[in-house]
Amino acid sequence: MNLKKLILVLFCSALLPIPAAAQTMFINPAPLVDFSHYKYLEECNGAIGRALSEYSRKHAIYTDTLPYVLPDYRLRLPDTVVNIAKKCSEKFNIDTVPLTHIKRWATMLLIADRDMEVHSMYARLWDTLSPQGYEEHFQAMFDLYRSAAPMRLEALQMLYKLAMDKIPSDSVLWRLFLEHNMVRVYRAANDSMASVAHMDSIFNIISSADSAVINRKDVRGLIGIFIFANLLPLNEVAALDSLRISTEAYKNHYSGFWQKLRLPLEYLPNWFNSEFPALKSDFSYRSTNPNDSKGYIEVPKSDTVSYPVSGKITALAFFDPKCHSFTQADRRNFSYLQGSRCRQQMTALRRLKEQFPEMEIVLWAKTYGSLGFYVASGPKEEADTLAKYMLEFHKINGTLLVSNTPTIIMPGLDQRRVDLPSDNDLALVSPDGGRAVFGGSEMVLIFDQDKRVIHFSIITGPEYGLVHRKIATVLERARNKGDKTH
Amino acid sequence: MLNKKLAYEYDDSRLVDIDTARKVVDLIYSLSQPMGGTSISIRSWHATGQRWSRNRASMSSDQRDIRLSISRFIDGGSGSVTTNQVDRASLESAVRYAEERAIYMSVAARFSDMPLGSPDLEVRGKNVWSDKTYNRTNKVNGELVSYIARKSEAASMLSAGYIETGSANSYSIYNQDGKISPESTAMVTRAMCSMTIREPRGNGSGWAGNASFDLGELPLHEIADKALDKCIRSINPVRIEPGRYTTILEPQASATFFNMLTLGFARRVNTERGPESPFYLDYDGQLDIHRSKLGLRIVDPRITIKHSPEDPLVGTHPTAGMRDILYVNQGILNEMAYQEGYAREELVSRYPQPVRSSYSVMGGTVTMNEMIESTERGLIVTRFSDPSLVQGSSMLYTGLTRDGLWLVENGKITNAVRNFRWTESPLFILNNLESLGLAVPIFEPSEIRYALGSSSTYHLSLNNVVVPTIKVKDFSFTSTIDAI
Repeated sequence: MNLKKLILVLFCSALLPIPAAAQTMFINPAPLVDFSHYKYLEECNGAIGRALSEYSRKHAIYTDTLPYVLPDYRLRLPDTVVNIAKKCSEKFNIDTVPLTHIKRWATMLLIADRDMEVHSMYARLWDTLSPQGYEEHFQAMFDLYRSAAPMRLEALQMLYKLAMDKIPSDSVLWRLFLEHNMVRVYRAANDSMASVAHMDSIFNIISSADSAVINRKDVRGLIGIFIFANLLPLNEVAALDSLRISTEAYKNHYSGFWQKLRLPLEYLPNWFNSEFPALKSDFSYRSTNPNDSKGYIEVPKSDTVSYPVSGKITALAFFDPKCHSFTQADRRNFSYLQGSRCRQQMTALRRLKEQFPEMEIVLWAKTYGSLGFYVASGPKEEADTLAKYMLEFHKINGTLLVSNTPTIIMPGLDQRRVDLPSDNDLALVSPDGGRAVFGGSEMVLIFDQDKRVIHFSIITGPEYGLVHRKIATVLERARNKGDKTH
Repeated sequence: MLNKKLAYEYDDSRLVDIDTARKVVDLIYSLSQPMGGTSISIRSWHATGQRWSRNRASMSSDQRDIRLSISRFIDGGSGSVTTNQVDRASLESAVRYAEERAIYMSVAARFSDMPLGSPDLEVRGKNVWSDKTYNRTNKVNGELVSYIARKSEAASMLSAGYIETGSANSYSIYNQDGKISPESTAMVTRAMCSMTIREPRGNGSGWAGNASFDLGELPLHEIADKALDKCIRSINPVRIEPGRYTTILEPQASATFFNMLTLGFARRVNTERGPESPFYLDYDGQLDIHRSKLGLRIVDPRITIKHSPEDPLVGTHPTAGMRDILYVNQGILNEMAYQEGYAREELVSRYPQPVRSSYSVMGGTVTMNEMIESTERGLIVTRFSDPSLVQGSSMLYTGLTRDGLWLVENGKITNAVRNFRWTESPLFILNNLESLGLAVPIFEPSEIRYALGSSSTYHLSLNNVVVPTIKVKDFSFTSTIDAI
């Protein structure tokens, strides 16, 4: 081949389309970290974030796989992540870094187990901080410590004291702010005694403060948040014998508290600790032995029992079909109902029954016309499907009561189904006294043996430990009472 | 074995044909681990385009692409990958990732909720396919551009516009045997053309355009002649006082208002949420619900707006859940669109009423000439531009007239008129209807590549609108503008 031909071939081959390389990068790259090139904090935090997300991806934690003792959930972070933070933080002189991005520095240092340096950074910050910066930095500090794993309650307590010393003693707002956040942290850590101690501090601050200060817009706003975030759930804690103040005492305490705040007392869940009305139902089902092919049987009307059950601890869960979000990407074979809230409730109930076999689990649902992609032909068929779904599929060992919701169909072209309140809805008005009813929520109520409410909430992860302890306490109290009687 | 790029990329076929699709499906099945289920969708599109401006061609394009989605379902979990690379190495990597993701998700799904069945929706519609559109080449389009440019130059005018033809197809495989069934195959074609011809000093402008699935239905030379004619007739417009005029809206102009109206039918749930919707009626305190105007007259009784999946002018390819929709029946609001969730929760029905951007308005028999002859003093509008919402509940919009506006006096066109800004509502003008002309397809831009939709939908959607010329009383022109 002469040179001209060769050049011509090379020229022509250059004009041919070059096939694109195969796309083989569908899988995320491993979070390899080369610290030698890192110069900035952001690079370190990015590496930590990548390692964390990779770890979460591979070790996803699902509700059903969580251990019973929830504080264990907040275990130490994986070594890979901690090592990255340690190695990366060694590149910086923490004593001299500017405090402008203290939260980012502190995030890395806490992961690297360098708690004392976080403490000294915040000490430096408090020395220079003016009241204008309180909210931003206090809030950031609590966010940081609330999400730290493992939790550093002692370190936070030290910082809290440091901050309290800096705040002027007459600054009601900021003292309340710190106390309120401490309550939240201890509640997240399931340490009821410590959270009650900080609540007492709040009551003390309010008691000693001037009424005009308490009703100042910013202070009153903060107290409002505190009430709805902490005080109402505190009723649950107050029902425990292990705590020193009884429900009634707390109610009285609140009474003065609310009067001082010039807000209506009706906001309190006054049905707490009162006897619950018996539930009504049109269809009733009971779970059968889990080994049976059909996991439920219908209970004849004549055999139905009044719920809550007298002499037993009863968990009563209101099931709302709307708590599912529906996926409808494919219409043929692969559609699943997905609803984390529903699943969490079902899981919690299943576990409670496993741990307290003597407990009665009761689910109450209303007919709604459809469940998931399934549209029922009538109330009976819908009730059967609900039983199959809740007792058989979710393996709930308990009773399902289904109320036939009275409905009307809008005339003309409208044709909407309008649900009217069922008997239970009318009997059970929600805590805020409004028209919202339990049938439209996923609320779980726990009753003691005297059919009195000892707990109400949606049982999400952190709530489970509290419910568990509360039931154990009530059972122990009953046992002790029985021993004394004998 | 497909260990190189698939053949279709290098040959003349514009879309993935069924044999190639079968090869891809077989390869994916052979690469999948023997567990769980697989769903595959292969969609491809092709488009040719010619653009020109100032009587010179500015772009000639020939584009094509595919979108391959693989979903693996293992032990209740699912994982999906979408790619446009179909060589063996890419496919293997995609399948592995989908499987890894599905296994990972199955941990969650194991404790997830049971499937309660999804509705098996009826498949309706016909493939809107034209071989003439599919086979159109840029060479032929280029000749047309040349014709328009020459003609405009001869008339000392400047022309600009575009001609686009395209086709798309889709294969969806949900069954475990991997067979591609005719029901899961969709094919569409689309041709559209829009051109503006202007007087070089900005003293006049004319527009014409149209769209159809069938290029044979688009008289491109006539469209060009019409744009030129409008341009010449619109030169040196006179300025007249703004105010309320009897107005003849050519189909392209009337479509602006019908589009506004049908947009209001898009979500029934919004209408029943509160008084912000134009079709909201009142609040029923006894039942605690908001009521809509369903069943009440909202426009002139001569107006009927519908969508039929089998009508080739507005329909689309066979798709699940399609059915005849009668939005407005003789002026009465008859239906509004809603999704599957609304159907289940509010109507206790399994069947959604999907939103359709294609629709037809039943026309009348009055010709344009008859409309002009019966007008004592009024205006003729070619089209509107830039309509924007002023107030939602009354559907009040504002916009501009463009590319041809004429004054009619004593039954004759007397002058071209300077453009106006208008402020008007379809609810007002469609209740002030004087006469209706013949309904015809109009230009509604809809690019073929977007017909493929997102990866989660497997139907192809196009906008096709058939509307009549309408003559309305007291159309509100609020100010004059200098634009042509």
